[in-house]
Amino acid sequence: MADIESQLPLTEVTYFILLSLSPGPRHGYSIMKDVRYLSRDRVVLSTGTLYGALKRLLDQGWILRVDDSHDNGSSRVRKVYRLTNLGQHVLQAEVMRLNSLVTAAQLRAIIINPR
Amino acid sequence: MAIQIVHSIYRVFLHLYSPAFQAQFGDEMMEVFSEAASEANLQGSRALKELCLNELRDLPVTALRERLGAERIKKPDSFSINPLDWQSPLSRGEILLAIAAFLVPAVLVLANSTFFSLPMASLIRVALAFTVIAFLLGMVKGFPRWSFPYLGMGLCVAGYLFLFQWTADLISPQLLIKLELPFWHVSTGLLWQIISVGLVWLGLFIITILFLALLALLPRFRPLYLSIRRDWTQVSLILYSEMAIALVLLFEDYRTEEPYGIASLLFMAAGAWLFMRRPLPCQRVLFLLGGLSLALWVVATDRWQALPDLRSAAEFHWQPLAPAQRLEAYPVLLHWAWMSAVLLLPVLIKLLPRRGRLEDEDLC
Repeated sequence: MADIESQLPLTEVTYFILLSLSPGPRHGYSIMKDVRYLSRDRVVLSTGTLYGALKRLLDQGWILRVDDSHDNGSSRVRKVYRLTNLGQHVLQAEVMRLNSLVTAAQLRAIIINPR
Repeated sequence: MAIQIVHSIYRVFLHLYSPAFQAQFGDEMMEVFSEAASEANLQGSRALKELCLNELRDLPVTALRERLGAERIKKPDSFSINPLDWQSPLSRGEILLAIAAFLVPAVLVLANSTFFSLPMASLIRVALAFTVIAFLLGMVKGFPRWSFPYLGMGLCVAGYLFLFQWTADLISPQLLIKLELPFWHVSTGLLWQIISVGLVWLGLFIITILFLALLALLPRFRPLYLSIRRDWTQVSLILYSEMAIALVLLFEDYRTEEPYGIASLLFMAAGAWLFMRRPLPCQRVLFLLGGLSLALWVVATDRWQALPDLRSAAEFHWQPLAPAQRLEAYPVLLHWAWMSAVLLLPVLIKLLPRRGRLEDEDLC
């Protein structure tokens, strides 16, 4: 746990990528679109940023790169990414951290107005 | 059509990444970009432009970051250049990249005189931009062998910007008067010329040595410094490249200078090319001296032949006499003597104290 907490806080790009992968494996383009949706168009990933981040997450062992088990209609096997247990724990730790920040703001009766 | 052009440009930009990264993610990135571009194209040209601008802005930065990250991960030993590296041949691509430092300015001058007729300042900017980009790329990769000419040219530009004014003040005749040398009033002109020419080229040598001292202090570049200590001819190559830029300044404002400028740069390129193909240090230095000598011979020929076409002579209807031609050409001999001496000065590096793993290298 101490090791995981030393990795926090996550950057926005890392956070949204992990969040995008939390329901299940996705391929690169799907991650790009999902991050844009989750961030409400605030975080728009270029391919360079996306794959630079994916490489780092692969090296850290937070995600895995596997062959897509679904048939995409072409002979080429597509690669998808999925969270590892470590990545799942890191994401949960970050969500808890963010939650504690929001709770602290609520203690001071700061109202967050959704846009 | 536009989408195909965009794909082609993106494919070219992917080469900014390291080969290992391209092998791991290149195809996937191309596929993702294709999907994103197709979807943006359906939304309209504005969406496609936004996508392309986003990629254009991010990709070079992320590629550079990835390369620097990969370099940091490497162990120091693997980063260092093998002390026998210059005895193993360079690839064709590396040699071409190296001599491009001399060829690109020559090609620019040729293209300009044939097709464009742009002002010299524009050509200088283009050549300088090319040199700076190659220099930065070499620095990111830890100054591999092909980047030495760009390293030299970068040092020359830095020297011109920061040192030139200092040396110009130093070489005034007042210095000679203060020294009160015997018979100075008889030989002042020649003595002043000898010293002033020498100070310019020695100044470049001093800048190079200071740069090497800086390399020794920076941990990231210390292996490069140690490699240079083992093979002093690398310093000669750096000085040779510095001289290529300074050589251009030797051409006066003659009407027919372009062919001579191109020829001298081609001789310099040939000297560098032969340097990179020879394993023995003495051969490498001889080829540098040869390239330099031929380039300066062209400079002298230019001054001798072209003097009657001097713009001022044309404007004032003045036909210079033959001795004036000799007066213009002979100082080139002085430059040649000093430049050759400075090119051989790095042999003094062999005299510096050695310790540990550094080993002497036979001259021939």
